[in-house]
Amino acid sequence: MKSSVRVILASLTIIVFAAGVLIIFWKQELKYSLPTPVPYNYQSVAIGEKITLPASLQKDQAYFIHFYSAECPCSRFNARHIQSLIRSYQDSIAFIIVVRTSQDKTKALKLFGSDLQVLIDNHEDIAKACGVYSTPQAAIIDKNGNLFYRGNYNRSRYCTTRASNFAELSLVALLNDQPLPTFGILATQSYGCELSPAETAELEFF
Amino acid sequence: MSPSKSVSLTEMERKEAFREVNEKSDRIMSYAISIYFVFGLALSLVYDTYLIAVGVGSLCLVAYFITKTLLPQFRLYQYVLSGVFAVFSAQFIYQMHGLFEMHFFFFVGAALLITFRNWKLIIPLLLITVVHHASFAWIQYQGMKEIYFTQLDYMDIQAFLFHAALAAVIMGICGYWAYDLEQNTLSNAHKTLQLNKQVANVSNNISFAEEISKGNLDIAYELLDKDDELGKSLLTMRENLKTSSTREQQEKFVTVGITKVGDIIRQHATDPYALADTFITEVVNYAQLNQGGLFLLETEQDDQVLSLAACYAYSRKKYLNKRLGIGEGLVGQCFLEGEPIYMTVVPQDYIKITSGLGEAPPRCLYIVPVKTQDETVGVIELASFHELKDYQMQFINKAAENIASAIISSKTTQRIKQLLDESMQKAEVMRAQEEEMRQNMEELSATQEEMNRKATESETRIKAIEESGIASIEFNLDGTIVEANKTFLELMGYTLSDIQGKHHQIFVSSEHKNSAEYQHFWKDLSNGIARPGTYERVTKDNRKIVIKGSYSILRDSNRKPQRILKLATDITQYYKNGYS
Repeated sequence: MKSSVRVILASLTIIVFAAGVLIIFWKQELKYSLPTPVPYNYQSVAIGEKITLPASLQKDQAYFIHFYSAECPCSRFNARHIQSLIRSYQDSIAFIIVVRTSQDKTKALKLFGSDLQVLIDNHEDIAKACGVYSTPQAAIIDKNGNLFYRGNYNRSRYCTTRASNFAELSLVALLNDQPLPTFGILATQSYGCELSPAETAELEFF
Repeated sequence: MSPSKSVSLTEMERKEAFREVNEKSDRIMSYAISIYFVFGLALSLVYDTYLIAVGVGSLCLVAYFITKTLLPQFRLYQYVLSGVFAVFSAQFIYQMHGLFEMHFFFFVGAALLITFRNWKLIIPLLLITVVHHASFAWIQYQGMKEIYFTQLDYMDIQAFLFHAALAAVIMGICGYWAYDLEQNTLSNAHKTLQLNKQVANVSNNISFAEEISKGNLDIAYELLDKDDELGKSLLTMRENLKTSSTREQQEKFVTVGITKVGDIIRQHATDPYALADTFITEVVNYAQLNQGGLFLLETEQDDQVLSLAACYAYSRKKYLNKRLGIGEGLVGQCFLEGEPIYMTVVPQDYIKITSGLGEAPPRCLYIVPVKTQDETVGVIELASFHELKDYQMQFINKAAENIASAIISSKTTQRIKQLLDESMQKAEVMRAQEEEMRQNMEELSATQEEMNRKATESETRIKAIEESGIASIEFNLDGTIVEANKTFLELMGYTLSDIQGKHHQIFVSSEHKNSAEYQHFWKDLSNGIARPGTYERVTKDNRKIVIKGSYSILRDSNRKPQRILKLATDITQYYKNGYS
């Protein structure tokens, strides 16, 4: 093989492989650093609004709803934090894991505990009701069926910043009958994987 | 550490210097990158990051090995490796959900890269790290305020500055060590090269010196290094040895040649023509010439000419009697000037060297006078196809001198021999003459003895005659009285002095003196006819006497009449007594 051919091949390899690496990183991490694109038909749900939960759920009961997707790296990132929340507060509040598919349900049961209630939100009814369009997201609904908190778990994807455990702080406030603390946009701006990948507007980013 | 300026290596030498380092580093890096990959897989267990671990990890691994396989001779794969380390570090950070300790993999990568001893390898790592962090920062500032860049609460600007400064220091130190090691490697390689060069020089010089010691002076030798002083000295030594060897050979050539010429001169000392012939043959053969002729000076009827005495392969052989005048042609001119003539441009038709196959004009012509210090006796003319060297000319000049003295001495010898022959011949003649003379003398002495004896006898006879009283008188043929004895003088009354020189007529009477008979008488006597008889004579005192006797003729050896002797006896008394 001619040396010029080798040089071209090597250059191509480097470019292609570097591109591959970038794509993987982009898909797996970088894009999650940005706010999740808002779906075009998104209807925001304000705090204190009445939430229509599925009929199967008991009324007069406060719920901590965790929107989970096994495919979403961000959901995996904060799995430990969710586990610790469940361990700490499952006696005080009902934890509900909302997934899109039955495979996800199996994984969720395995990950968070088989005694947990896992709902398959086929048509995103629950998500829409709570104004959620990404995973992982938390929604806390008080006994009256009103939305108490909807947003991120932490400013860090890995939930390593104790001071910004927005979901936990909200939960604690609810349990103590305190008003919702003011977190700011870091808590309410949705980050993470889209619930409906088909409607992604990635190009908008560029 | 020596500055890089002093170390100048070619690209090949540089590659060779780093070959071992690179091979070792490649080996280590193959392990390191594999361990990175496996480590990534292990990390994926923590947060289920298989996709990243396998995807990014294998892409990195394959990119490195493909580049390395495709372009092993380039350093590209090392830069790829540097980038791969950065990507792996980013991957680990991601896999561990931003675990701060995973940042240390940037430093691990930087430390690993030192092994290649190329500070520039730090650049891709640094670049990707900076881009990685910068992109995060950009995303952070672009999108949301202060999120996701770090998970640490206390990561303020001061901590960030420390972080960046430390990273810069570590990268800088790694880069510096790599640079330092690189320079050391180059310096060592340079030293090794120098050493190898010197070893090569030394072994080259040793083999060269050995060849010289074997006497092989013409062996090819090249200086491997222009700074190789020993080599230069050896070359100078070789040149000097060569020069002295050549000089020795040339001197030997001259000496041996002259010895041979000397032998020839000795062998043919007696035969000038054989000497000339052998001499010219030897000179031409020994000096490896092609043609030669020896002209010798000869004198012909007061004219001096140069005659071709001997020649070798001379096209003029048929003109063996060729004669050249003094000053005629180059040969004559050379004789006249007494100096050798050397010509490298020979006129086309001057002379040709012929062989069975053809003929060609010679390349050079050398004409030498055959002379000693004070005498020139001839000229040698030599022709050759190759130009003559100095030592050949020297040999020819010396040979010419030697043959000159030989010819002169030969000529002298010949002349001496000739003179000796002549003088011997003369001596022989003289000896013969002497012998003859001696015989003559002997004869003479015998004659003298005889004569003495005869004279004595004659004297005795005369004495006897005188004693006998016979008068005697001697006359010349003309009648002049020469001698007379006492008896006669007494008889005639004269003294000898009276009559000596006088004519006989004083003894005769005046009548008779004038008579025809008296004239006839002397005529007969002068004709050699003796006249015995009785005569009447007149004495001084005019008395007449009669004498009886004979006028005899005295002859010489040729029977020629010389004198007349008269012996007579006075018979006057007897006559007076009656007898007439």
